[in-house]
Amino acid sequence: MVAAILPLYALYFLHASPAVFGVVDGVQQGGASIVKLAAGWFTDRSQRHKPVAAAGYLASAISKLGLLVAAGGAPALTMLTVLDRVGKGIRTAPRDAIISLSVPRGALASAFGVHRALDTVGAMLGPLLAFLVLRFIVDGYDVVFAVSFALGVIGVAALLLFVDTTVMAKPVVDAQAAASPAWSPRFIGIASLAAVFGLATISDSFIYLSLQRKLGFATGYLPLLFVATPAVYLALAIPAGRIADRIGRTAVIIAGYSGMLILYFILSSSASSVAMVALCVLLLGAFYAMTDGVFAALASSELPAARRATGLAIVGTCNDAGRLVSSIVFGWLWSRGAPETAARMYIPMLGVALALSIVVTWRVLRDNR
Amino acid sequence: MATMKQRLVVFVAVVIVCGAGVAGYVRWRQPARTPPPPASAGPSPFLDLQDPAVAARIERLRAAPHVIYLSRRTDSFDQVGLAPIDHPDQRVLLTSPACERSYFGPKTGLCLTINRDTVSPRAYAIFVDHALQPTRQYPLDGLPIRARVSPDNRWAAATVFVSGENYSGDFTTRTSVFDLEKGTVIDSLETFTTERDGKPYKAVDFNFWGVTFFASGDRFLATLGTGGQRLLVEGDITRRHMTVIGADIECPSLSPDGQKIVFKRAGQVKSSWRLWARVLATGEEWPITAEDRYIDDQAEWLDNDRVLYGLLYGEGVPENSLSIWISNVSRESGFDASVFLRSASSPSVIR
Repeated sequence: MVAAILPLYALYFLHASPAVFGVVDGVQQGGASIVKLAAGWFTDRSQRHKPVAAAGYLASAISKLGLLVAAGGAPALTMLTVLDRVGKGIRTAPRDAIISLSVPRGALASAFGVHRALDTVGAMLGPLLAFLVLRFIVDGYDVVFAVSFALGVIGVAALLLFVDTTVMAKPVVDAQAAASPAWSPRFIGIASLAAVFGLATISDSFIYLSLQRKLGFATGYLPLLFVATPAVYLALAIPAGRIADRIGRTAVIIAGYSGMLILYFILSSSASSVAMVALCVLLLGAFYAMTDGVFAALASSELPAARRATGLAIVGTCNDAGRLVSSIVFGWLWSRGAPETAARMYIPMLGVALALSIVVTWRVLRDNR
Repeated sequence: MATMKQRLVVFVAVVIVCGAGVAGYVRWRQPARTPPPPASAGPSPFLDLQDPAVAARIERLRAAPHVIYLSRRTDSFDQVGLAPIDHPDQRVLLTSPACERSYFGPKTGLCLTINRDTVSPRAYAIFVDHALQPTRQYPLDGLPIRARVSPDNRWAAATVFVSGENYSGDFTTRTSVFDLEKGTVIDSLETFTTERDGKPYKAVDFNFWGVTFFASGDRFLATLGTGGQRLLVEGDITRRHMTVIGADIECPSLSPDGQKIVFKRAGQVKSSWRLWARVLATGEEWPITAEDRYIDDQAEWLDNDRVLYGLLYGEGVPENSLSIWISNVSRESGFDASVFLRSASSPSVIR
């Protein structure tokens, strides 16, 4: 919920310049990466996926409790936001490893699709619940934090009690496998693609802000962006995963980024009709459905079970690092000109990334479905 | 590993404990944090001008010269108040929109407000009539900082911070001009041409703020900020043209006779100013205040000799320390500033 409001809050309330906002946004996206890598490495080493994931979820829940107790103050708020992000960093890799190790190789993208869809349902219900609480309880921000904390604890309990990790694929103890080079060229290809695509991706926040500028005074449509994009993502995540498992994951990823390229053309044009904005929302939701879970599935399929969490963390970090640089660059370009000119610069970047992905798919990943 | 049944029992227990915890918290917070019901606080402190009895009573106050201001007290933050010039302590609070900034001419008031109820906070310029009822409203693109209505009620100007939140760092302002007769808006003074020393003058970092209108016609003065300089410009709305006529001058305010301006000039301390006066015809300047302080907004002339201005005087609760001060302008009067109205800002004088 906070993440959705942050860009508007920063620009319209705190009146930060786009360049400053780019750095903040980038740090937020990339900050959890170090933690993610460490958690992934520790997970593989200890093979304790569930406790590590639970610790991550718990850290985020505790940050809500902190918000409740701290009652304002910028430093406390910053620290607790960091704690929430750290929790996210800790849980992502072991959780995705649990998902990928619990299903056969041919159903990876479908499994991630189901997870991402349910995750999005939660992400959509959260703000709705917050809105209801605020509707009925005057100044009930603290109640929102309390409810959020309680739900977090229930989530951790559900994870610890019901997620059965005994069905997960076990790492093969094999002298030959242990002696093989740490990371296959195929995996390195995927990680590199994640980084390059990250570099060429304009962050959601900037896309929303650009669209908001296009709509101008018709800001009544703005909240719809925050609801419509996840709705599209939710609707398409599972079908996209299934198609990816059937016709090929890279094909779906490339299609997703091609949609993003069309979005860039719209952003860089001077068009400002509501229909155009609706198309952008559709493309952005589809982009996430076709890339986020599918990329995790693609990476999982090239990773041995013993290194699953670390490998997923590396791919995630490569993408985050790319996005961090992208956010800073986009903010800088915007503050020197307009979001339209900034978006125009990203068209060739994404074009190069797409070309590269086709080459990598063709040369390196040819037989990966 | 425990059986499924055992695990379910544990889970249900967790859910119940969490639910009870939230419910208990909500019950516990209620008594301490709910504000006392308004009924016990007596009648509403705000007088509604739509009530004929109130209007008649206020009409007597309005017959004499008075100041319309914004309250900065916690119980009435951003509400419009009215105080007789001779007895500012007899002030009354009026039912009005909550204004970040306001300025009132004899007929029309301009209230710059922020609607924080929506996902993206939205600022508006709201024009109000004699009874403080909104007549027209225009969306603004930023944080409202300056409002002025011309003495002849023909024009109004509103300035917002488009980015940045204070004058010390990087910031962008936009000043819009409203034609109250035709109901049209000039989005930005940056669409006007500017000249300096007889030559066209233009830079990408032009920012305009602090408009003050001459008594009649469509002439005004304003601040042009560019490259760290604070320039005084004289503008002509019909010709859409401005001329630089002075430097190191910020937030000018024209005296009722149009002879002098009082303006802000940066002090030694960061984000501090002193008030200065300048005779327009001769360019003669002298300081009016002696201390480097945070001076809020533009000054407002009480008559041709005295000005009112908002001053943040460091001590106490923030909202209470912003008060309206009064000072003589003439060089001979020396530094004689004193408090005019506590916990108040944005004074407009109705003579």
